[in-house]
Amino acid sequence: MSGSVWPDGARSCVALAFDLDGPTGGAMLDGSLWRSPRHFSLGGYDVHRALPRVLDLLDRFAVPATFFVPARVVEMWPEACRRIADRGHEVAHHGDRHECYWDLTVDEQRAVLSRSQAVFRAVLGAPAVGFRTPSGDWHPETPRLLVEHGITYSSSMRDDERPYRHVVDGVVSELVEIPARVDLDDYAYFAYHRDPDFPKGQDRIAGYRSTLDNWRREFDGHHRAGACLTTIWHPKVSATPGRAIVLERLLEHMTAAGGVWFARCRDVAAWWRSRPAGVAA
Amino acid sequence: MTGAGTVRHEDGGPRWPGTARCAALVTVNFDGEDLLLAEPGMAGRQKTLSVLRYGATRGAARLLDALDGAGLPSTWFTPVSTADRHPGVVRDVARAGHAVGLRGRVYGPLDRITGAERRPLLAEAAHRLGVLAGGPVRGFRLPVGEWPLTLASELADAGIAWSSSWHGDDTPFVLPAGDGRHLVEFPAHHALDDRVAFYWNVNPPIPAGQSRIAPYAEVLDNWLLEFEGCRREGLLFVVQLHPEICGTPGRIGLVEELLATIAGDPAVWRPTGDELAAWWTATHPVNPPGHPADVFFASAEVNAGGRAFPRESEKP
Repeated sequence: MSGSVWPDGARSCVALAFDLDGPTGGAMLDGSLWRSPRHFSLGGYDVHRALPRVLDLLDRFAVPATFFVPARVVEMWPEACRRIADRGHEVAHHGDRHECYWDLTVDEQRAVLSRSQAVFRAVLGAPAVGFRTPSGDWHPETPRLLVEHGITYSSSMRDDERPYRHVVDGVVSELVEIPARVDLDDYAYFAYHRDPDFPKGQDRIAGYRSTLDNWRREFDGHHRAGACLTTIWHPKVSATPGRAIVLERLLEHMTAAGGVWFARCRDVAAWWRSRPAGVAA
Repeated sequence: MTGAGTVRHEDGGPRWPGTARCAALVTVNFDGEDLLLAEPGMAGRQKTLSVLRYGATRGAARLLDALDGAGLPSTWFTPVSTADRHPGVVRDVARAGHAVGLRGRVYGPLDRITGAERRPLLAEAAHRLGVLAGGPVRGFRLPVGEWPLTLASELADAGIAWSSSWHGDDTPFVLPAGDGRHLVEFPAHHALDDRVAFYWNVNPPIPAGQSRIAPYAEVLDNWLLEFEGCRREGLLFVVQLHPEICGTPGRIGLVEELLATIAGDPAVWRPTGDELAAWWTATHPVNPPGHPADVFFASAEVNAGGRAFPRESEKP
């Protein structure tokens, strides 16, 4: 690697990101959620108890973050979601009810995007510019639909450790991708529930300290490589009272390293777009 | 909420009595063989069932000793079928000064029958368990399946004052139970359940993916970190133990270390379930705005017409 690709000569970039799914997802999509208060409460914990804990943690380290939030969560907890933006963070698109774009027709994808953008405008005062696919894959047409709906970046793919521009209709577009990695997805370590079961085989909850060790090593590697690290963290999963201590120790480690550009995803995308097109990183 | 002095709840009132920083509730799920007996093809599987029977033959006594050693109160939730199978354990638990809580008539879901069927079933189950325990049963924990929307009102009719079944918070909250009543809920989390960490069976495969038994030291460390987090933020710590899982010679040490940490900390309030329910009812009868339980019932009514208790006009 030669030279820094980040602002002010920073060695690496960390775009902390949280998916604030709340009680959206499969049970909301099939309607069973409204007969499932216990399951709902796992999702409600996200906004009621875990989100304030995350916001306090980010304040303590004075680092910004991006929250990908389904529009129904914004509607159910408008005050809490406004607080995210008020405290200097970004709120971005994550579906309406966390629907998997892979399962939707083009018209359905359009409907999800326009409904969600309308909710963002009404509740948060501005539409989202960022996008992260809920539950996995998108369609070949999705990037074009994103551009049509005012989205300027996505954080959905897994194929690099630095941003890149998506090719839309055969042309290198303005749509920036900030790829993430499952190694930094807390579902792979901590998520656990029953009825419905996750993980499917009901694997054990990982050791908190060994997970912290993994994540420190991930950060160290990204920092050394001058890469862009983003996280797939869920407040309800990673910000229990005990796991918030893990996040705290990781943030201590990251901020002590020096030379890290901590940024919201929208700022990372804008920076990447401002670089001369076609110049390899 | 750091430093000395009173810890405040979101509504501004004191969250715990006096200068207590946090509260801890030790709970035991005594399900015994009934954990599996309701499932098809399980009757007669003597080896598999004996794993669970161990709780009655050895684990419960060892767990009671550990609680006694730490001087901590606890509540033992048990299905009536288990209590009938092992009345001696229930008697020992009550004699040692611990509370007995209801876990249904049998270990099974409660959301497959109607409210009209559940109401008398739960009242009868609570009564029967009270006879075996030698006193009224006031606490409840849902075994499996979902919480039927009207369950709080049915439990209140059965004399139940509090439950520890939901997940949506790190402090107690209230559930509407109709007729101006409510149930106090002490949410519990899977991360603090020994069964999630350790239960394993070869045939049938449990857990489904037959994942390895978790490393003991890591599990204890996770529990202690959760406790540290609760203490820091002034929250409620609810641990779930099973006599057949952690009442073993090899694992009781983990329990003893956890209990000693809770018992040795003067900043921790260690109430019984009844004491905690009474405190919460008196101090926080209304949930803070945006609480998951309230958002659920409001949304369920709008989206599916679901309600926590029947409207006046719908009462029989």
